Amino acid sequence: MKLPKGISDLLHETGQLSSFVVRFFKEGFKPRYEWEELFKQAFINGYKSLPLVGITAFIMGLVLTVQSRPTLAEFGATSWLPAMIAISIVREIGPVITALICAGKIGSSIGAELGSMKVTEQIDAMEVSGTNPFKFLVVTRVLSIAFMLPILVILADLIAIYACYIGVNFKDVVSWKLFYNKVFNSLEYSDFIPALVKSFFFGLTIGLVGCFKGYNSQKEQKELDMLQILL
Amino acid sequence: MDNTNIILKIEGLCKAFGSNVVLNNFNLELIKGENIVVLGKSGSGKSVLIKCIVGLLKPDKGNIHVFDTNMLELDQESLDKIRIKIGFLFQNSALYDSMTVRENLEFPMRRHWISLTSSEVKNLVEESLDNVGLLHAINMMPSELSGGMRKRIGIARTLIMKPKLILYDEPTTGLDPITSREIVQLMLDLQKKYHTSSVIISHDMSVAKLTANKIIVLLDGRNYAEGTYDELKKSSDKNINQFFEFAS
Ligand SMILES: Nc1ncnc2c1ncn2[C@@H]1O[C@H](COP(=O)(O)OP(=O)(O)O)[C@@H](O)[C@H]1O
Ligand SMILES: [Mg+2]
Repeated sequence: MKLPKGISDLLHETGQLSSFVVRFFKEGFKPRYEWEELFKQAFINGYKSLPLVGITAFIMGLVLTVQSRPTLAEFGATSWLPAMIAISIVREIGPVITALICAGKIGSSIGAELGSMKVTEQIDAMEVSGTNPFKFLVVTRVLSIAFMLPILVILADLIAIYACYIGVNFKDVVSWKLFYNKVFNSLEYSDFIPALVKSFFFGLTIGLVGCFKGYNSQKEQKELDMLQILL
Repeated sequence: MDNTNIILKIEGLCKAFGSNVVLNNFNLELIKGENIVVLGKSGSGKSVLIKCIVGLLKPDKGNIHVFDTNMLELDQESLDKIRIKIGFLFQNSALYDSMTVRENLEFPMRRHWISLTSSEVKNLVEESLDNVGLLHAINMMPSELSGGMRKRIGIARTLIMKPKLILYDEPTTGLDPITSREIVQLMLDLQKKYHTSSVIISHDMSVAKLTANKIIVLLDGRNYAEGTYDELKKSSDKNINQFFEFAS
């Protein structure tokens, strides 16, 4: 029996992705470690994503506050606003929004970068110079995202909570000290830790999928020949 | 013949991609200090051939011996060790776009010659760039270089590990005739200086004329014809003659 093409393609790609992930864990923990490239990628993928993540977090915090307020006001519960917003941001919205932005920004740029390195034979060139390109390119990129994403999430949480403070002060007058107490009395470690662990795995997934797409990109031979003529 | 003088020996190489048979019983023997030019039309499998030599592609059948080592039986570590002794110039130079020229050249060294001090690395990089006449480009990015300069940097990056065998994949394709001539001259000068042997892949008879000790015409995946430039020139076969017709 022959499977329909769509399904067999899907299964094929799933299998390839799985073996890519296995290879990542196999090669990632063997020396030699490419520290320099890891830090460079952490800078590119983490630090350079900060503005975008920051702006989005700020808007999320502000909008969430302003829009939740009327509903809470009906029950006379506006004093719960800081705690409610802080918990929802720390537990879910912060990690998810940050991961979504990074998937779009970092995931796609890595896919494009590795894809173009593949078709211009730069990955082959690394291999024939006796360097393991998987280790140099893939492992460093994936790890850098996995470690930077939790850090970005913490920063995004802080920015969103500060935006919430601004939002609360549109209508009420709340001192920073009172706001701060309300927020941090309501938050517990059990809100923070799972969120950070979760974002680590979000980062791992973003990196692995982006690298997989780029590293295995296979231009049609005709396109490749065309490219070589153009270059 | 003395075996130690044979740098590269290919026997009965076959390679197919699905139903597309690219190489079919190809043979080659490269003697120390010589240049072999493999001539073939675009798509005849020239790049596939040298990618098989360095292990980027796995042949279906056949034997490849480099410096008397069977390339097909090596584990990853020994393969990497022998790859250092083989220089490979890619068709479009394959410079690392995200690195400066200096970093491009340092890249292989920092991984294999870890014991070098930074001043030794610096000297080697500068020597290598000086060889190709591009010392002033040391801090440029590959995107700022012209096609001919990229080729030269590619050659410098290949030579920095002092390889004994160099594989050139279409070293002059895409360059104007004058620049092509300069690149060929550079290849010859460097060969004299470092005593290398090379396999030069090309479709350009004028390159073959200047560099080849022996020419192999690759057609239908096998050695269609072999000989020196003069021998092939006398041939009356139209598949061979077409390479001469279009040579400048
Ligand atoms: N990785 C690959 N997968 C499938 N087919 C390939 C691959 N590499 C090369 N080919 C095919 O092999 C043939 C020879 O290609 P190539 O060696 O690049 O030609 P050229 O002599 O111009 O360098 C072409 O028909 C090409 O389609
Ligand atoms: Mg080619």
